[in-house]
Amino acid sequence: MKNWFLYTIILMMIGCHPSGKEVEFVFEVPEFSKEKLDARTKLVLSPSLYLDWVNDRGNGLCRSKEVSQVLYNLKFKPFEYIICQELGKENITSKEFKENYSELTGMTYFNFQIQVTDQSNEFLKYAPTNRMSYQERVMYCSFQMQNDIKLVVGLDSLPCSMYHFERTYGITPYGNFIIGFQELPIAPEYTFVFSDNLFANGIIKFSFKRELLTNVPKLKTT
Amino acid sequence: MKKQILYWSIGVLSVFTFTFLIVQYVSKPRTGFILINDLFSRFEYKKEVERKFLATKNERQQILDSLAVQLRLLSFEIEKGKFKDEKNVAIYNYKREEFYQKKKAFEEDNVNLSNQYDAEVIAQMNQYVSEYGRLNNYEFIFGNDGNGSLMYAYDANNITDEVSVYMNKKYSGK
Repeated sequence: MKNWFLYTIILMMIGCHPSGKEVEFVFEVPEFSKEKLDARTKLVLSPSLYLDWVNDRGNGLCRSKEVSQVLYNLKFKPFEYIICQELGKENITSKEFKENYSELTGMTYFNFQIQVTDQSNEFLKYAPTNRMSYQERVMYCSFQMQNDIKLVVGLDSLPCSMYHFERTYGITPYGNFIIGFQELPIAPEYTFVFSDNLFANGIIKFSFKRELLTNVPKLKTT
Repeated sequence: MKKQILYWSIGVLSVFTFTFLIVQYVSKPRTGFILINDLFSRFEYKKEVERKFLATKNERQQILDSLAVQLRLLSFEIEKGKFKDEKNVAIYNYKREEFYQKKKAFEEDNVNLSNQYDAEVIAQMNQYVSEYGRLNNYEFIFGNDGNGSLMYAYDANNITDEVSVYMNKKYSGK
């Protein structure tokens, strides 16, 4: 009897839910309790699952922000993730892992992407203002943008010490930037700051709690 | 038996009506308004760029002040007659020209910089207000800037505080 009432109410709620209203995606940062963060470190994932885990927005390492039709995506890349990408195989030996890991230490890596949401062309062709010509935008992304990126740690800010713009010549609608900072000092929070002089959208910030970056799964090795 | 069917029918109908009313109430599209100037002044990004703008403006003013002092000293010396030769007058004229050119350039740059910062702040503000609206099922969010576009709104629909908190949280990247 109780079930019957419950089913009726659920059916009604589904039936009465307003349809036809499209809610666009809004980028919300998930909240993590201490237990959830601790549980992350106990995970041991195979390379393919590791890549999926980092790319899963729900795990908090990928962030997005949209301002005036420009979408900014930032991904924190744990060393394990980079090793999986570089080796590109499902069975990674512990020797391979250690060798690659030691090469990566001393830096913190991010992937930064800029995409224009309402065009499928090369993002550099989007010109909301006539401040820069196409060639100037290419030059800016190749050389000067590095100076507009920093990582704020408490009252200090770390300059971007590794920077590479992957130009795809229109194959992808976004621009990919590989960013590296020196090893992070211990602080409760890190804020990635980009002063957008490309599309004049001002300061774009992404904030990460330390535990979110340090409490990541382990990579399964053979 | 007939009575039982009647009771059952009334029961089912009541449940349906009750659920329908609750769902209608919960999913009712909402409207709200924000006090634009208030929201603008409470935006952290606006405060940050204001500080940056003032720092730049003060630096420019210092350059102008320094040039003005040099000009005054030179003018004082020329008036006293000590160095009233053509060379010093030419230097004076050159510095005066430089001062006026710099003053004009700085004034224009200040206006441009202020406009650029305002545009950046407004772009982000618009984005966060629309995100807030989408997330909270608002059909309309009106902006009240005191110019008569919104003549009256019930105070309970003022969502400036909530939007301000959301906007600052989003801006800080959290």
